[in-house]
Amino acid sequence: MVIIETVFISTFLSFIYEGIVRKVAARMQNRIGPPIWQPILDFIKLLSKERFEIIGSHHSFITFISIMSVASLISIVFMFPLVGLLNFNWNFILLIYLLVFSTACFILVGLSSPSPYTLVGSTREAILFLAYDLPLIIILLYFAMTYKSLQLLPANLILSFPLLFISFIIITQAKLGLQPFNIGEADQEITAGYLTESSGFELAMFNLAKSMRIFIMVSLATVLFFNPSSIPMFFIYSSIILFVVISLRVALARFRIDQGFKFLWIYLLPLILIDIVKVMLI
Amino acid sequence: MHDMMIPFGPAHPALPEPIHLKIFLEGEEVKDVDFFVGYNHKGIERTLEEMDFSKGIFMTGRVCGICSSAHSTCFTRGVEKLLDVEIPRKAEFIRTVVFELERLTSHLLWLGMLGHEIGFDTLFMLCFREREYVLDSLELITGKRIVHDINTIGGVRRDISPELIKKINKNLGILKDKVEYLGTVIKKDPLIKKRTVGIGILDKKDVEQLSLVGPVARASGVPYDIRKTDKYLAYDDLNFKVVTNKDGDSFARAFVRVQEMSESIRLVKQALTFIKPGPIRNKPTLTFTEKEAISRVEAPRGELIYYVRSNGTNKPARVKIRTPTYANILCLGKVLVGYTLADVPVSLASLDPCLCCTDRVTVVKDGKEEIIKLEDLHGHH
Repeated sequence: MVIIETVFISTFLSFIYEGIVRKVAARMQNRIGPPIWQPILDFIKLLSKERFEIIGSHHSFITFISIMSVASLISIVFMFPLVGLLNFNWNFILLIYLLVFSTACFILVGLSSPSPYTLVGSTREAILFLAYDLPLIIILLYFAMTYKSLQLLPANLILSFPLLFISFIIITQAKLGLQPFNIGEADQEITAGYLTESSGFELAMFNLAKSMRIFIMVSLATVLFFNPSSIPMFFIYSSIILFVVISLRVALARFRIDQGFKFLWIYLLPLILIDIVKVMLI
Repeated sequence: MHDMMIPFGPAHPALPEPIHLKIFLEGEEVKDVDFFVGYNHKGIERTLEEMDFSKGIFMTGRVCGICSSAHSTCFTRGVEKLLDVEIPRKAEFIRTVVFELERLTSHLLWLGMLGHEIGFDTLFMLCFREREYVLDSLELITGKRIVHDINTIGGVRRDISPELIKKINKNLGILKDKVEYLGTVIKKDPLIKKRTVGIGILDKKDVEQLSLVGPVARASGVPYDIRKTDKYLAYDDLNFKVVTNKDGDSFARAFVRVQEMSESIRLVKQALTFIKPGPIRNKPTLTFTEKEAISRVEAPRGELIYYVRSNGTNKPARVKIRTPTYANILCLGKVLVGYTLADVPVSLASLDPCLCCTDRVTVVKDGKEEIIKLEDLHGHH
């Protein structure tokens, strides 16, 4: 029962988070914006839509991948300390694997269609993935090293590692595909990028996975950096991080792929290393 | 052989206008570009020959949704040259006011589009918010927001009263600060600079070889502005400078347009001071002789040319429109090839193409080239 409850609550919260992102971004841009439950309505509508079978695309594989992308992200929710369903000794490693796998699903869906838009979108996403995933793994493994445990434990590291927190927010932006890193879905260049040929059930699933990514990355940042003691505190810290993420999305333009790659390697990686080396020297 | 061909349009999120580009890529680099127009041919030149001159003014106002008054002013001036009528000085000032306000709407829309192309949707939303001030002013003057229809043969259709002048000046005062702010955003934002500086470079030689017009030419250091060279309407009484930039890249084209907006606000404010009570129209007798006339204006996108010929009836025998985008579209190969796919929307937007006005008829018969005379095309009617 707890599992089903967790699935429903996390799905609901993901949609609400996505709704908040849309609504707050709209207000910042002086628009009215959709109501915050709009993603739920979109999801229900997409489920009722027809599925187009593109000639030359691996259709059943795309369906499989779309379900797996959601499943992998829900598994991460099970690991959170406040949920504690997947609470074993080395779940940190599993977390890293699942985070990588959820992005791999998005790259694979683009490669399984014969369209040039999805192909270019997937290639870009894969290149960007190389750039932000190594820093993310370094951050996560560094936490494991400090706590001498491979378990996802709440930590309060915002004060001792401020630069790591900034890097984590930047990586969040890249992982979520928001400005300035929405390069794989740059609709002005390659329409919807890797999701161009998806429709109906698959598109609904991928949209759910995208909303869930927002929920998980923000929650992960909260758990790792703020150590929320109770559920209300968790939501207060989460909303602060969400606000920072939305502000960046609204205030910035998009990088070109080479610029984004350069930015992540030249500026982000040293930022992380400075914080780590600083602690090691002390 | 190229790696991949990316189809771009005729329905594409980057450019909501019917152009089809075939972009040949190697990796992300653009190696070759081919373009096709002709998806939205409206047959306006032919329709104009079926209408009498006074109705034609309204028809030409509908060639383009953004530079409506540029088209109708240009056509009206052509017709007035055929009739040899002088229009009252006040009418010329009113036309200038509408003309410059229209340039403001066009440039603000364009700036928003540039923001949209580089993924900066906030800039797009802000530009459209500020654009409301201009549209409100236009509504006060002409009664319409987009298609203005202020011109008529021998003058203008509506007067600007002193109360209106006050309201418009108030709107322009607010707009001036906002445009200055947008200018600083463009100048200082590092990401906008990263995406536009050095992209789609056109040097002075390219401009001269390809006969480019408008802000595209001025951003490459060619001070070509019909408002200065022809001194049509009331531009000889007004004080303004032709904005140029020598860099010739997308950023220069953006910056030239932002500075032109400030110049336009200054021009409207000056022109409003000249508007005093008086007649706004000389009603001419519409008797046409066999004659032809060419008129040109500086539309928001550059030099716009109308050729009008009458054969003695009250309908034009021939109207030929040369839109600025038709002149500028030739440089697509220059601004796209050699850059990456991500730069295509930026370069394309920086030219400010208005493709609906550019569409032409192409006759393809068994793949052979064939010269078709105008009489043959008209003969079937």
